[in-house]
Amino acid sequence: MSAIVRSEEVRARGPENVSAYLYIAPALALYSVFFLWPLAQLIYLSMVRWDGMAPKVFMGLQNYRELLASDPRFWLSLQHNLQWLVGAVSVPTGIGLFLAVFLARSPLYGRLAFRTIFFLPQVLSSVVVAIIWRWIYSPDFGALNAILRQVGLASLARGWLGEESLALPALFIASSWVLYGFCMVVFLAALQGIDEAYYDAAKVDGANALQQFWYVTLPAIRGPLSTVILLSAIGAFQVFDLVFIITRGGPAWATMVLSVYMYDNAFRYNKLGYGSAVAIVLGVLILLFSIVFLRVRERLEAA
Amino acid sequence: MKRGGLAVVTLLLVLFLPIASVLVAGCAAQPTPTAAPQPTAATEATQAPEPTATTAPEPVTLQVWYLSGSPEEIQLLEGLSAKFGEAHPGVKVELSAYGYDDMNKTLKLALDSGTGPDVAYCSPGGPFHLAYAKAGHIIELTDIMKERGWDQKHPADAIAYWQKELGGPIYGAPYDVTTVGVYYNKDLFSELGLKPPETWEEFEKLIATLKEKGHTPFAAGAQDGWPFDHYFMALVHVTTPANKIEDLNYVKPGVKFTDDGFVQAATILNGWVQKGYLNENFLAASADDQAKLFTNGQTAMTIAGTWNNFTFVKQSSFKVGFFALPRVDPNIEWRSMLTPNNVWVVSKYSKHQDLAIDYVDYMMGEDVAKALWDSGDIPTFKFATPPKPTSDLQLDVYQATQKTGVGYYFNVNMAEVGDIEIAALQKMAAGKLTPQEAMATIEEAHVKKLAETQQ
Repeated sequence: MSAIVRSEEVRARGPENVSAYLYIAPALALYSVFFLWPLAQLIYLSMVRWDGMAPKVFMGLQNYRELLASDPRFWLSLQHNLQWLVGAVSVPTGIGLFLAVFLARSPLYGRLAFRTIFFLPQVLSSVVVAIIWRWIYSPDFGALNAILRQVGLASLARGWLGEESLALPALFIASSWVLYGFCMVVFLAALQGIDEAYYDAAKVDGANALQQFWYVTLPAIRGPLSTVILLSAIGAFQVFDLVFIITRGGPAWATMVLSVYMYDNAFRYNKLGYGSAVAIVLGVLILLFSIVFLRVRERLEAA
Repeated sequence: MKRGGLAVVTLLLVLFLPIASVLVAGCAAQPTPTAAPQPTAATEATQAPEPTATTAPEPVTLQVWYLSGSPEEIQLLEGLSAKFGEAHPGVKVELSAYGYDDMNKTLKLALDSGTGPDVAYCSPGGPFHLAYAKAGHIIELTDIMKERGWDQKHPADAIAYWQKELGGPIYGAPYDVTTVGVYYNKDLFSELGLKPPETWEEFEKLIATLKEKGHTPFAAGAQDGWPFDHYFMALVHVTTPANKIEDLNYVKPGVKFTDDGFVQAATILNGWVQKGYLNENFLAASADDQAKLFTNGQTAMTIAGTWNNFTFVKQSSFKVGFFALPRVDPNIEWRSMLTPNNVWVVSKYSKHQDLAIDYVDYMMGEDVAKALWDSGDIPTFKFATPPKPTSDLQLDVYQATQKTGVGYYFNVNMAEVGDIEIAALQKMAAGKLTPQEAMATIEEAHVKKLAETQQ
């Protein structure tokens, strides 16, 4: 009955329906030109062999077959992205959450100043951040080794960006330094929406600080928390600037990630078709992750 | 459409937007050059005399893109370009400087879309100016070269160097040369009673002496990859016959990275690493760190390219010298990575082609060559009387270029193989591959590249 009523309502609107589409037509046109059409071109490019100058040679799915079946550097890059993802959804998120709770609930003077300081790395350009951290990690002239030597910990001074086992974590620390401020700000906003009465009730029930956090704070900020986790995960798949500027994927591919691999193939190896295939695969991976994540979140919320 | 489905489609579109926009917009992007710095008083002092004056009928801006990472060099070119503009009333030269990667990416995209500069001083060779030529983006300069006498003013093999692949037509004109060799601390050498070696045995003895006396022989920056690769390529030029290096450069079959000369070069380099002849954390040191370690006097030598002349002279507190790497095998022809540097090209899409050719002609002239020489560079121009060197370093470099034959950055036509080469060398230096294994890894990629070029 309701469906019949609804369809009658729709038919009854008539010209109003058309005017609704007319309203969104300009935006849709721009969207088509600046997104849908480039996306279609990208998909086509991923199926050709093209160096950017000579005529394109259609190859079908050959680029994808080569990428997925016989390119160890692709899988190594993906592995690094997944490692980055695990870190991104835990470290800056965890630090941001801790700082947000601490700043929101502790009687600390100068909280606004601390919020500003913690957020400052976010306002820096990613290129500036990369240059700063590249200098920090310099083994002979950088701040990190200089400080370690000054405080008597010279044995800990390393070639941070030259050791395969340390380079990726070093880059990740630089990234976390930027991201935790954003996470903190999101969580602070969410915490302000929690009614103090819940904490009072918890205290009356004898809950300590940790229990208040677990039973009051976390459930209340579940939505923003999952959003931050999702955005951090997407960022981990898309990471480019820091890797490109600091290590270019080295040493010996130890920090290569999919976005830099895509860039190298498209713009340095003159394999635009292959680079486009990497881009498509990366996009599909992000999409699949997001769909799964959102579905799991919906089910948890329903439960 | 169900709500969940609409959400999925929306999410699909939102997530693909950054990736699609970056990659495809990058293919169609208009170039955005960085502005070159204004000339300083120092540049004014070294600027060339007035070029030949012609009058342009209406105000014209000549767009010139220049490949250089040296602030001093860019300032010099800005001054020279300003002089050209002054001699051509109504003409303004807009010079934009680009780094190596930026120029190669941006110029290709610009030319491909029919835009870009009137003139470019760009990377030479198969993937660069010859690719632009094959695609019809730049004009042939063969007849212009003869009319303007460039082939008389510059060595024929310098102009023809980058043209071999196409068998003759000239599309780019170089005006200076670079090489890779050994910069050394002259003051330290004098103090220790050392002198530049003439033979490989003398060189090995010199390195060992420096180490025994408590000095680090070499500064290397392997984190950036290419500086360390230059060590390897420089050694290949003194261990391997020249024809093999040339064939490798032009991606011809018959030469392998597993051949004796390449393995020997890798073994020598690995030996230096094992004996501690390189700076302690060279695997994590950048190209800038390498330069600083040398100019600070923390190492006695560094193997680097002569585009560092400007920087090394300015930033060192000691006298800097230069010598060509001696031959390991005295029976091979003595070569180094001596190459004509980048090339001047004229865009087919330039609306001021005659003016653009005049600009290149000015750059190929004696006055500009003198200005380059005075700044410490080594021009290709054949001076009737060699000018007086502006520094001992320039004299050393000039003499080194006269002693050795031309060489090749032999992975420039194979960028992907070059990256694999760098990774293999880094792994070798970290002790994870033997020299033989490193060369085998590179050869695997090389074989794949040969197969691709034959498709």
